[in-house]
Amino acid sequence: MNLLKTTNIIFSESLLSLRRKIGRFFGLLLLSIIFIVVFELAYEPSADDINNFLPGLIWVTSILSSSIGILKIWDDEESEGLMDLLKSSPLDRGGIVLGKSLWGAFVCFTITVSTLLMTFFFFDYTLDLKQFFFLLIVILFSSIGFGFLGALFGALSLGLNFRNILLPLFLYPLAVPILMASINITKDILVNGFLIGTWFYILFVYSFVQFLLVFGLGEQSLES
Amino acid sequence: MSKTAISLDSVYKKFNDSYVIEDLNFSFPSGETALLKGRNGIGKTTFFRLIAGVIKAQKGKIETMGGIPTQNKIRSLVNYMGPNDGFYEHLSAYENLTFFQKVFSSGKNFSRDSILKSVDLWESRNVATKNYSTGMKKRFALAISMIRNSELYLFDEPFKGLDDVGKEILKGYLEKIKKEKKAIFIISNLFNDIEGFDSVYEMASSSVVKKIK
Repeated sequence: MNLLKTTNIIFSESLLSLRRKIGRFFGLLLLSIIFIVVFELAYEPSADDINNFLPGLIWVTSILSSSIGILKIWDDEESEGLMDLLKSSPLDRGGIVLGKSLWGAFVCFTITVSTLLMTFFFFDYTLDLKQFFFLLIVILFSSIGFGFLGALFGALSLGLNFRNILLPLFLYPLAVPILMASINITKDILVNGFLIGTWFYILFVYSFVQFLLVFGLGEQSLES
Repeated sequence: MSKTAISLDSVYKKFNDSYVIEDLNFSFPSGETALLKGRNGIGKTTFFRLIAGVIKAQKGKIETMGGIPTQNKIRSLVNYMGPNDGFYEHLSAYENLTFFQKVFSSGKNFSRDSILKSVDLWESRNVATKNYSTGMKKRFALAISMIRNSELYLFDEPFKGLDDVGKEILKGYLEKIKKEKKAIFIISNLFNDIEGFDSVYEMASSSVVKKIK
C-alpha cells in the first residue's frame, strides 16, 4: 500500500478515535484556560506591557497543553499486539508515522488556535483580520514542527522502559527553537503587524526539517 | 506461487545481547498445515514475528511466500495473528473492522456483518472492545483475521483464552482455510488434535525446529 493511502487511513482512524476521546481533548483546553486565568489574576498587566507578555503566555500555554496531547498519540499502538498487527499488514510503515505526525500537527493546531482565542477573550485584546491571518500561519508551521517532532520521537521510543519520562525529556529541549521563534514572531505581528523576518525563517526551516525527518526516518523509527 | 511458503537460511535474531534465534535453518512447503510446539520462552513467537515481517533478523536470509517478508507485497499474503490482542480497544468491533478492512484492502469481499455473526459477536458489535471478556477479544482477533484473503496463515496460540464455543468457531475457520489449500502454521501447546494437521514441528532450541510427525 502506498504512503499517501496509509497516511490517510491512519489519520482517519485518529480522527474517528477523537469522538471516543473527546473528554481528553477538552481536558487539554481546560488546562489552557486555567493557565490563562491564573496568569491574568496573578499579574493584572497594564495596557502598555500586554504586548510584551501575551505572546509568551500564548505559546508556553499552548506548547504545554499540546505536548500532553502529543505524548499520547502512540498510546494505542504501544500495545505490542496492535503494533505487530500493523507491522504485519501491507501498510507502508513510513505512512503510519506520517499519519500520526499529521495527527500530532492537527492536535497542536487546534489547541493553539483555541488557546489564542481564549487568551484574547480573557484579556479583552482585539486583532485585525490581517494579524489573525498571520498568526494562523505561524500556528500552522509551529504545529507541523512540534507535531512531527513529537510523533517521530514517540515512534522511536515505543517499547522503551520509562518512555513516559524519557519522551518529554527529549521533546522539550528540541521544541525550544519552535517556542522562541513563535513567541518572537507573534510579538512582531501584535506590535508591528509584520510576519516575515529572521524568526519566521528559523521557524520555517526548523518545521521543514522535522517534515523531512519524518519522511526520511519514519519507516526506520518503527523498525527499531 | 512459490512451492516453499517459508524458508530460513542461517538466521540470527538477538534481543539485549542474547540470541533468541541462532543459526536457524527451516523450510515449510506451500499448502501444508502444521502445528509448532516447544517449551515456553524457546523463541516460537520471535520465529513467527520474523516470518511475518514484524521484526528483522540480524543475520541470515528469510523468504516468505517467495519474497522478503518486510516487503508490503509479501505482507499482504501473510495473515499473522499474534499472541496479544491487536486492535483499538476504545473502538467498537464494527469500527475496528471498518478500519482493518481499509488496512487489508479487503473491500466488499468480506461482509463485516456476517463475520461478526460467525464469531458470535453480532450482539456486541457496537460495544467498545475494551469491555469485552478475554474470550470475546480472542474471537474478535479471529474476526480481524477473517477479513483478510491470504496465502499463509500464522497463528500464535489462537486457542488460548477461548471457551468450547470459541474453539469450535476457530476449528471451523481452520477447516475452511484447509479446504482452500492455503498454508497454515500454528503455535499451540494447548491443542492436541494433531490428526487434523499434515505435520507437527517442535522448536527444540534456538537453532533447531524439527519435524516430529
